[in-house]
Order: sequence, then C-alpha cells, then structure tokens
Amino acid sequence: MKKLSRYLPSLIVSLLLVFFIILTAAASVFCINISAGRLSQIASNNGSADIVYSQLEKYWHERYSSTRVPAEVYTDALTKEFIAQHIDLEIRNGFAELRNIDRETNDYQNAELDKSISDFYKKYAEENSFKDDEALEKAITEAQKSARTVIQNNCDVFKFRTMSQHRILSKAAKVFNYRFFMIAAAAAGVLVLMMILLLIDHKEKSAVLYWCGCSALIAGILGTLPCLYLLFTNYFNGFSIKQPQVFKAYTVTMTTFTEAFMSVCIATGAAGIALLIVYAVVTSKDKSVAPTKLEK
Amino acid sequence: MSKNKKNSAALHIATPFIMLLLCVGILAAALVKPADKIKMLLNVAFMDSFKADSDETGLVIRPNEIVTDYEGETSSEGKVKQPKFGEQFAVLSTKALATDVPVYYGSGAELLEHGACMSSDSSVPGKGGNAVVSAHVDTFFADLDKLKVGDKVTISTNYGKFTYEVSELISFADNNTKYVKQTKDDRLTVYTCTKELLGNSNSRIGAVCKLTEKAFYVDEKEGE
Repeated sequence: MKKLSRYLPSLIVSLLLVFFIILTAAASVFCINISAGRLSQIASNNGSADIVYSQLEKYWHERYSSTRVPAEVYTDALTKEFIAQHIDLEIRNGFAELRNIDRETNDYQNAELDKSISDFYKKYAEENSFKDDEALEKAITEAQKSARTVIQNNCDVFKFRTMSQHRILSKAAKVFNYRFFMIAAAAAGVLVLMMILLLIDHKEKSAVLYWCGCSALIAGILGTLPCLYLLFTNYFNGFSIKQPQVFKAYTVTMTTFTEAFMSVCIATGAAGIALLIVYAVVTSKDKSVAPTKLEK
Repeated sequence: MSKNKKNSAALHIATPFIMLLLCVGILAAALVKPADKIKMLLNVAFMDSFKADSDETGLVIRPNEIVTDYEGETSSEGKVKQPKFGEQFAVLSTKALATDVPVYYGSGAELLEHGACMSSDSSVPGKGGNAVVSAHVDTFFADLDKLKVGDKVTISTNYGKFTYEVSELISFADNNTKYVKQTKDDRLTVYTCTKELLGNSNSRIGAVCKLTEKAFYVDEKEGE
C-alpha cells in the first residue's frame, strides 16, 4: 500500500465501493420491507382496525346533529374483523396497482350494515308518517352508499387511493417494478469494485482486506448517523397527515424501515472493523516471518 | 526502517478519516442541486413541525377528496359550488410541479401550510373572472418558476374540471395588486414569493393563464 501508484487508485475505487455498499443495503431493506404482507403486518400489529373503528364511531357521532342518524345504526353492524379485512384489501390493491396487475374487487358490501340503515330509515319514516315510496328507497340507497364511502376512506390507512388519484403510484411503480434489478446491479457493482481492488493490489493482496474494510466501515457510519438522527429526534412525528390511523400506519412504517436500514448499516460497519482486524493480524504475521538476509 | 513503519501506520490510520471526509464532501456536492426539491417534499410531508394548531384560531380546515378522474358526462355550462372558508375545494395540476397541489378556499398562514390558497376575494373557477391561487415557494410552489408560456394548468373541483394555458409569466412587487384584481375575462393567476437567501421576499413571481376548457360535471353527485 506504500506506493502512490497503488494508493490513489485504491482510494478512488474504495470511495465508489462505499456508495455501492450503501445502495445495496438500501435496496435490500427496500425490497424486503416494501410488500403488501409487511404493511398488513404493521397495520395489524399497531391496531389499525381499532383506530379506524373508533374514528368511524366519532365521525358518525359528530354528524348526528345534522343527519339525525345515530352512530349506533352504523357501528353496531360493523365489526373490527370487517374493517381489518378491508384494510388488508386496500393494501393489496395498492400493491396491485404498483405491479400493474388487476385490483381485487373491494366494494365494501356489508349486508348487516345495509339492513341496519334500511331498518332505521323505514322505522323513522313510519314514526313520522312518511310514505314508503321511491324517494325513501333512494334516500336509503344514498345513505348506504355514503356509509360505504366513509368506511372506504378510513380503511385506506396508507392512502393508496389518494396516491393513485394524484399519479404518485404510477410514478412509484416505475421504481418498484425494478427493485430486484436494483439490488442485483448494486451487488454486482460491489463485486466488480472488489475485483478491481484485487487487480490494483495484486502484489499485496492482503491490502484488499484493508480497503474493503475501510469502505464497509465508512458505509456503515454514513448510513447509521442519519438514521440515529431521525429516530432520536422523533422526526416522523412531524408527519402532516392527522388522521390517527394514517398517522400511526405511516410513522410506524417509516420507523420500522429506518431501524431495519440502521441495523444493516451497523452490521456493515462491524464487518468493516472485522476486515480491518483480519488485515492487521495478517500483516503482522507477514512481518514476523520476514526472511533474514544471508551473508556470504 | 522504523520511520517508514511509523509513516505506514499513520497512513493506515488516516486513510479511513480521509475517506469519510471525501464521502461527506461528495454527498454534499451531489445534493446541492436537488436540496431545494428534497427540502420542499420534506416540508410538505412533515409540515407539522411548524406546529399549526387550527383549534387556537377557530379556523376549521377541511381536507376533501377531490375527483380528478371523472369520466361521466360534462357540459360547458354548469353550476359552481361555492366553497367554504378553510375547505379544500380543488386540486391544481401541471407538469412543472412534481405533485398535484391541494387548493384551499381562503388565505392565511395556517391554510398555506396545508396547500395552495385561493383568496376569498378572488373568483372561483367556472364563475368567470380572475381566480387567484398562491402558495409558499418552499412547499407546494417550489417549481412554479419552471412554468412556461403554453403550459397547461388544470384545476379539478367536485363540480367540474377547468383547463388553462399559461399566457404570460409575471413578476411584481408584493404591494402591486395589478395581477390579483378581478378581470372580465376568465383566467387563473398563480403566484408565489421569489426565493430569497435571508428574510421575507418583497417580490412575487407567477403566471397568468387563460381558460381554454370548461367541463362542468353533469351529475354533481359523481364528483362528491
């Protein structure tokens, strides 16, 4: 490593290796964690169905004074299992759109809810001497449709429908569908750079351990420090969407991904330190068995 | 020999620090150009750090779902639904801006933290006259200066969709009311502050857009 002709090229290649290692780590975390199953698990583990149920209850309570329909008409017919199923369905449909495949039908049909609304309207009409005619049937249909829309808006905890409407999903799909290619390309880049290091330091092969160790350590530090900042300052609590279920879903997801990326970076840094230790041991052994000159 | 050994050890120890400094320098240099856009996106997503609290002022800020992909019947004549103060009543979209911008009716610091604002003394799309929309330059209108003459700007509401074409790029002082006054022709005026290094800006930039297409939704309930 002493010659400048080997030091400078090795330094440059190692700098590139730092960024490729960070890219590989980020791409791997992204691919493993961004999936319908993972997001459904996060939503389920954080009680999204319970939060959505209480938000719906609150919504219909607040509208009682203008609609005269008690919240219990809706909430007594809704179950948390129904809500949980539709949260999962919204997530699956969001990913279906990212993958450009057909969405599952999600019309929020709930016979019990429809019956509860219909019974209430008919009872109200009877008590107030309204005719049970086409106008009443139309009002019942509108109320059922409106209830389904409200439930749908609340169950979309990751706001995939809103993102789809604002063309964000179609833009994200371009990156999402190439995620495995991204990992492969980044990993291939790491291998190629290591090969280049081996070529540059062919006379002192152990130096490759040193350069790879330095790169892994620096990559670990550069990846870990921003994650520590985000986690310790509770940066994600500044998330601007205030619907409780959306806020919780997004902040927990972002925190989970940040922790996962930080773990990978810490592991990378540790691997770097290990490589440097191995290099130190190997070079000290080489020096201790250096041949002595024979004098004639 | 021992001096060589010391130099070699020093180089071995210094190299990781040199690499760290170089990497930080490269990252800083690479992020200079997209820094404004990243900061804008982060400000939009994590605006709550501004600690706007609508309960303190009594303002009720109402975000609404606005239909942008209405496929039903439309007409060039129709009824405008007058929005309420603090209500999101439209979405503005144009190629120059990275994402669609929610438009709130009314103005004020609090509303500007949630989206673009259409002043309550301006017209609303479809009613005729000058519809004036403004937003902060470090959030929703960060890329407003990328608008060019001929660009299309669309305002989607729940009663119709209105397409405008940029006819004039404008620049004016903050006390100049020339571009925010009411007009006889149907137009959309969008503006924001000019970017300043320190302090508030006294000048504004934006665009005047002429109405090219009106599409009122025939079945209003489709847009709700």
